Amino acid sequence: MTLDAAPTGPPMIVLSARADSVSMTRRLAEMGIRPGVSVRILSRTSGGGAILAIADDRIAVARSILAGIHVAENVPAHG
Amino acid sequence: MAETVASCHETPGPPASPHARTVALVGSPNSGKSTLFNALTGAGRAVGNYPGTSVEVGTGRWTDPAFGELSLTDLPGAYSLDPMSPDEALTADLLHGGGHVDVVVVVCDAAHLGRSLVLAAHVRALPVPVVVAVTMTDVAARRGVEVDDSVLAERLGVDVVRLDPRRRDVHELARAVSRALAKPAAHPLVLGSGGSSGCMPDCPANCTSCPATEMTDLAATLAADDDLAQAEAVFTWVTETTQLATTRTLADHRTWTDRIDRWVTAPVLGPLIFLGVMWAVFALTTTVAAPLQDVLDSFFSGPVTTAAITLFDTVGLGGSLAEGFVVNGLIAGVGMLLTFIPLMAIMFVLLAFLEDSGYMARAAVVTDRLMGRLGLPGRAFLPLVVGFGCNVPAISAVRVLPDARHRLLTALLVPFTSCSARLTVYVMVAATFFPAHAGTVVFAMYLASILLVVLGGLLLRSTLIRTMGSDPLVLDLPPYQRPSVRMLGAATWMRLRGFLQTASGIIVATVAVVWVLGIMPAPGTAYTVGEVPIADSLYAWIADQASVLFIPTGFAEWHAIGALIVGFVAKEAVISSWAQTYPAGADLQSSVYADFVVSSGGHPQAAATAFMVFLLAYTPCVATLAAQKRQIGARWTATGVVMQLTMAWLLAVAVFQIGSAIT
Repeated sequence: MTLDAAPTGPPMIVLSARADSVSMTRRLAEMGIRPGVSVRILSRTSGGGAILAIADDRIAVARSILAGIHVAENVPAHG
Repeated sequence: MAETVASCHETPGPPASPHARTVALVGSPNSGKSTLFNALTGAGRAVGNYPGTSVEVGTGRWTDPAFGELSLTDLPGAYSLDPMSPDEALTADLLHGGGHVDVVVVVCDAAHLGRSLVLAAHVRALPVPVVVAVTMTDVAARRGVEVDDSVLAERLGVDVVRLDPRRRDVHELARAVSRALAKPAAHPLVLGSGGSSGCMPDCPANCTSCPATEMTDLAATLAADDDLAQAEAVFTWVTETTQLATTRTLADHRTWTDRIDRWVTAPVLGPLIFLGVMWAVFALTTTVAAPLQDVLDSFFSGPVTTAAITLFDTVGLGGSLAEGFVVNGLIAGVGMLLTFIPLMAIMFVLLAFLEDSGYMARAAVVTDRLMGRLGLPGRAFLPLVVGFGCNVPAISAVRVLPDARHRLLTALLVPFTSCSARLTVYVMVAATFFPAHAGTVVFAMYLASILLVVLGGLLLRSTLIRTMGSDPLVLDLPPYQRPSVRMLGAATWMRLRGFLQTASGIIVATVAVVWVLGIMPAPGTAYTVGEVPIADSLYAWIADQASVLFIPTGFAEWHAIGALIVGFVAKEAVISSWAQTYPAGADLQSSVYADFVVSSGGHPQAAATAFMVFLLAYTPCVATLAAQKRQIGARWTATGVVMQLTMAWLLAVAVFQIGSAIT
């Protein structure tokens, strides 16, 4: 699923993060939004975007960015 | 797009001694870089646009026993050396230019180490000596995050200094910079061809585990291409380094900043809170500043003027031209300049407060979609709102925008916001020509002002600033913090000083020129200089000549045009100088009405509306131009003036032609 359809609260693993331009995709990676990291939606913002939590980073992104971030539920590994 | 990245390597502001070595400070936004810059340079710093750009760069002297004196440059915040804005491009360009920077200090935020390390990795791949300064360690510690400096130093292959710039504990950094300056060979080119040549001096020969070897790969990666797949190596290195260098004792938890943000950026409440904050800024910059301005104004027009006249009388020059020039030219000009001080000081304190507290980033989130329709980021709302109070602090407020293109567009749009000085003219004209609907007419002028901002924005984006991107919002939200009084004071003083330096000459000179025109006789008259009635002055003659251009607007008569010329200097002076052009004792309203009936061929209401539209759209005042010159440079300021005059004239003609046809 993509982040615009993901629930607020639970941590998820980023599978891929792509934006409309290469530079914006790279900027997302520079901001920490890259495959393999754990991300949570902290809250929805006015305008349809959201505040994302990646470790201690808080990043506000627009709805169009959320739609380009594919995530999977972060199921804790069981031994 | 004019704000190209500079290729020259001069820096603005007060340089250190001519041969001082240069240290560049780089870091991602919100990394504490500018706070560190302020702590290092103290009072000896200045902020100005980098030559040839509208990108702001701070420069200053950094003195420390470790090295004596250095020239310190605070480069614009950047997440990496792959730029996405003119500001980031300037940083990347200057660092890639290399030779003029002796040492680069990379500021890394311990609380957001991963993000900071992307830039550190990019800078470390360049052939320049580097020192890494780790800031925000206290913030990280509160979150249960500990950063191991030695691991960072090992991974980066350079000195790493931990500091808290808010406590001015910067001597360790000075010693590290001194070491980097003293033995540049100790920072070998890690971009070399690999092997021991890229290693640290104390590294065993032919090692394979040295961080420098790893950095060689990294540099090769960066240099090879900006392709995402290649950049991936940087991100892998950053992830590994972050994991190795940090220890986390507390799980990721919801902070009080998160709790506040839940409300402050919420869909309905967020915009309401934002409007409340904007209202407070607007109210403080207008209602609080106004009495202070009045006090300064009456001080200059009262005691100072009286003292000057007394002085001239004492030395036997009472009533002379010299007295007129000093009293009506210089003192009036300086007085006008100084009345801006309370206004600007309040604006700068509020700006520093909103930025330092962290709220400005939230305002950007809340208004992003609305302003996006104008091609502007959310935080451009602030200068536009402030513009309705006074355009001068509003122009200065465009500095809250991180992208030079957005600053340019906003600075060109601010003059279309109807400042309170224009209100005094609307009220008089509306009361004269529309006595039964004066309130509605004034309100309509404010609506017209909003329309002009939108229209101007669309026009500029489709003509002069076509290349401006409209990237979707991706914004780092710093934690909220209580701004320190010292920081607010320092930031306010620095900006105020900069404004006065730029504005003083322009304002005083223009006021003096208008005075000189008023005492010079018009060509072909028999009056002597200083003895001429205003109707026969050069001022009236120029206004009369210029009025030819205004025939299609319906208000082509010299009193009105003269008032507009004065309005170019300051809208506050329009009514008083307009009144001065009529014989003493004449009623301004009935005189203006009678003149407009003649000049409009019997359509005074249409001419009055056209006059108000012209007044709204043309250049607000010379102080605004001075502020614009400081923010966006002389060329764009001049472009803006041409645009304002053209739009004002076209709109006034359209209003009068349509208005006179239907009335």
